[in-house]
Amino acid sequence: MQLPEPDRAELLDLGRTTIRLWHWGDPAQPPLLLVHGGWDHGRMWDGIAPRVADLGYHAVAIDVRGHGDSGRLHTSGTYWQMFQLDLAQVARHLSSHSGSPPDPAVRVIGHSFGGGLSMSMAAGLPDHVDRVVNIDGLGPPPEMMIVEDHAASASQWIKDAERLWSEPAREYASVEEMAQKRKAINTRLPIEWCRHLARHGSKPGPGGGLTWKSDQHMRLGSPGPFSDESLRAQYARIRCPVLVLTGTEPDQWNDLPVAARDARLAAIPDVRHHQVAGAGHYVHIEQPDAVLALVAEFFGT
Amino acid sequence: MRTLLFLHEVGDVDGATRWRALGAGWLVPDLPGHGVVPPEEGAYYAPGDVALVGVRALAAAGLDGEPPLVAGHGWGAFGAELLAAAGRASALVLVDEVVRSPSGKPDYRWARDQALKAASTA
Repeated sequence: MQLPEPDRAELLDLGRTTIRLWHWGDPAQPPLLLVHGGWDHGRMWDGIAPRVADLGYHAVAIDVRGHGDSGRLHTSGTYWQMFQLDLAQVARHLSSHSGSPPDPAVRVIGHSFGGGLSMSMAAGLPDHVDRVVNIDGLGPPPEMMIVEDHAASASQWIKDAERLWSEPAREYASVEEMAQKRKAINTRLPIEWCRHLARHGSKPGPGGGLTWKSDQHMRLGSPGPFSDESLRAQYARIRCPVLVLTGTEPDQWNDLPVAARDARLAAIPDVRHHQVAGAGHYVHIEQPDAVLALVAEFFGT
Repeated sequence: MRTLLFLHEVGDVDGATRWRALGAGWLVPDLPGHGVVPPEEGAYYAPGDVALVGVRALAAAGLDGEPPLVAGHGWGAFGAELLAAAGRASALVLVDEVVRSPSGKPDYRWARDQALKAASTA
């Protein structure tokens, strides 16, 4: 599998953290942000990003904080609003030369966790988002979001944090071993893609082996308000058009029941939904041609 | 003597010093971005950070056995509540905790509601 290198790599200083950006295409074109899923990184867009750029966009794949080469997460875990603020700052950076006054609105394509972030950004920072393509990122099944015992969840959160502090990150002997590990989890991902994701998602560890670049604190979901109801309330606030793409094939991490999926789709005021045949969770990697055609039509290019 | 962990207010630059002076023997860690401790990466203050600062301070002092008395001021009180919710406090003192949520930030109300729910079921 031969994939082109990004046209330009940037480390953007956002104040107390840095964000890695992978640029594709002409910076004078309208900016388009590509947001990967949890535990992934910006290089997962290497297949489709240059083709999106060819549609007439400045396509920019971000390493979300805690992933890839970007800054690390808080020691107490993940904070949804923090990711949103990062994305908003990146959107402002990308559109800073788009006129006077600059219009910070960008098109966003997000996958999985990145799809969820894109939806939150559209709901909470509507001036920053022009259109959203959400690839299989409508959130977890409702029953997984129910907290029965708040005391137990607070207790578990602190125990998990203590374990993370004391345990060094797992080290692997080779990129190939990491690729096989990834393949065992995401069984539908082609092994060449697993190798690509492992190659760009690993770094030397203190013990002489390789570790994942992803921050282990992603495992720490800090206590916070998150429910099926709150998610639909958030979707109801989205003012821009949204294209939701899901795959037709059963896969790891696309276990949202149809009824729950349809209820969430129904909450979005301006939405269209396509089920892409022959794809599981990684719709854009498994069926790039179909995804590119749908994106081009949705963006009107 | 039972350990007393005190979590000071965010933005109170002399917070830790003041409370240390008030209570001899109290364990009063500097919160990130205060005193000698650099801020957490990312220019974002998260309620959870405060609770885990307390956990780390207790461990560093070798006081992580018996649950301590936990007190907090303002934002620090939210961290104290999370510790109480997790069963990591034998008693809880809240000093002028921010509960009015003047800016309508949901974290505040949420943290309080959850702590009260947890405390009532613990």
